[in-house]
Amino acid sequence: MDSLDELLKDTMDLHARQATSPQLPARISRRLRRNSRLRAAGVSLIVAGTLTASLWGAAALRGGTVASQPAALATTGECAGLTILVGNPNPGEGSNRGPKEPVALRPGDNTLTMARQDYRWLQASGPCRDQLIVEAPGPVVGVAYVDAAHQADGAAAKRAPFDQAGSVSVATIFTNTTTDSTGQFTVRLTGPCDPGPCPPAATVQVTADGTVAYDGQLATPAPAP
Amino acid sequence: MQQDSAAAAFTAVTEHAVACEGEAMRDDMSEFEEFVAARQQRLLRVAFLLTRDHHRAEELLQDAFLKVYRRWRHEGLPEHSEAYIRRVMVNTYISTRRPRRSTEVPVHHGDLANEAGPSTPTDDGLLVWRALGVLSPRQRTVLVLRVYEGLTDDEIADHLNCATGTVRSLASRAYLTLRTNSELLDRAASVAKD
Repeated sequence: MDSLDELLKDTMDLHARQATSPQLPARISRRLRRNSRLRAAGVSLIVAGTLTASLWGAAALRGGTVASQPAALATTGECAGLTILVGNPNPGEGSNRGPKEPVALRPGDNTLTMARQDYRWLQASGPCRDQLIVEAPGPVVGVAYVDAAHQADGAAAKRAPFDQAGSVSVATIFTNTTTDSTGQFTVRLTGPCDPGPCPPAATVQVTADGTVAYDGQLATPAPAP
Repeated sequence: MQQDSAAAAFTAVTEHAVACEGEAMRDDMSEFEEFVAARQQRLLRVAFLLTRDHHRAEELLQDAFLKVYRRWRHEGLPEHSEAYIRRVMVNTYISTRRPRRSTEVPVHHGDLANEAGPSTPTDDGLLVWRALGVLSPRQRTVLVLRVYEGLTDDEIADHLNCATGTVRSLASRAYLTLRTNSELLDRAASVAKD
């Protein structure tokens, strides 16, 4: 090793010693747990979305009342009947943030309360559901990108298309923050809009407040024996 | 009402899926946490030498462990798991075009000037550190793996998924950049005068 290599080695050794982070394993664990919750949400969205769509379809076939259908996001034009539900995946288990039943997005502005490091599913049904994208510029709200294998990625994306799941399409957003804060996400239709991108079909102001625990999952690692 | 039935069914399926996932995850997680704890310090240092930033080093390492965890859950880990994680980390670093803005506060800020330790950076060391920052990500990666990690050029080529000749070329250009760095040359000239 020549003198430059020796100098490089000494320099790297010295600077590398500065990189310490005793809490990093715990932080990695939290991120892994969030990733697993999102993956579970992604899988359950596909299954439950299909089930829900079947029940909705059955209601329509039996001539179910209009009042039993959620409010549509679009009521005119080729997308008339497009509906997007925002759901709390674990409404009865330690989650005291936001409504316990799925809520339909209204055109324009909406508000939503979630916990910190919490997530919600978005389920779209009706016409144009395959043209939807969800956008969250961050940093408080992130989009969980659901890939072709329907695996939700724990990393925060800024935008992602809804994932097609039979007669519904689904997406997941989450609050990517450890402090009480506010953020926003929008849902818009893709396709030619002249000029520029299509305007948001719905905008949601998110308040991230408090913590949430999910049944069946440890909020913190068990103490070492 | 049909809406109540749909919502109830949706909730039941979701709860079940999350509970099942939670149970499986608990078993995997503790084993993986041990795996992380045993390796994170060494890998964090490599990440810091690559990114030269505590925030980005932590994010890079978290990203790498997340990718490895996904493979762990489906296929188990390959042999030489630490080398595998290092390879994932290196490729994640090189493929990242823009650093993702961190939304979390890093838990430790190393301050070189305030560190109390057996040695403090010499002027030459600081110059070299700055000069390393001028290198391209691939050049710096090659030097970190070669000098700090002690890998052979073949091993580095495996990490970067390129030919050994490419590694040597990157190293050669990196050394040339360092040796012709104006600050280092000035420093060498002033030492020669003394």
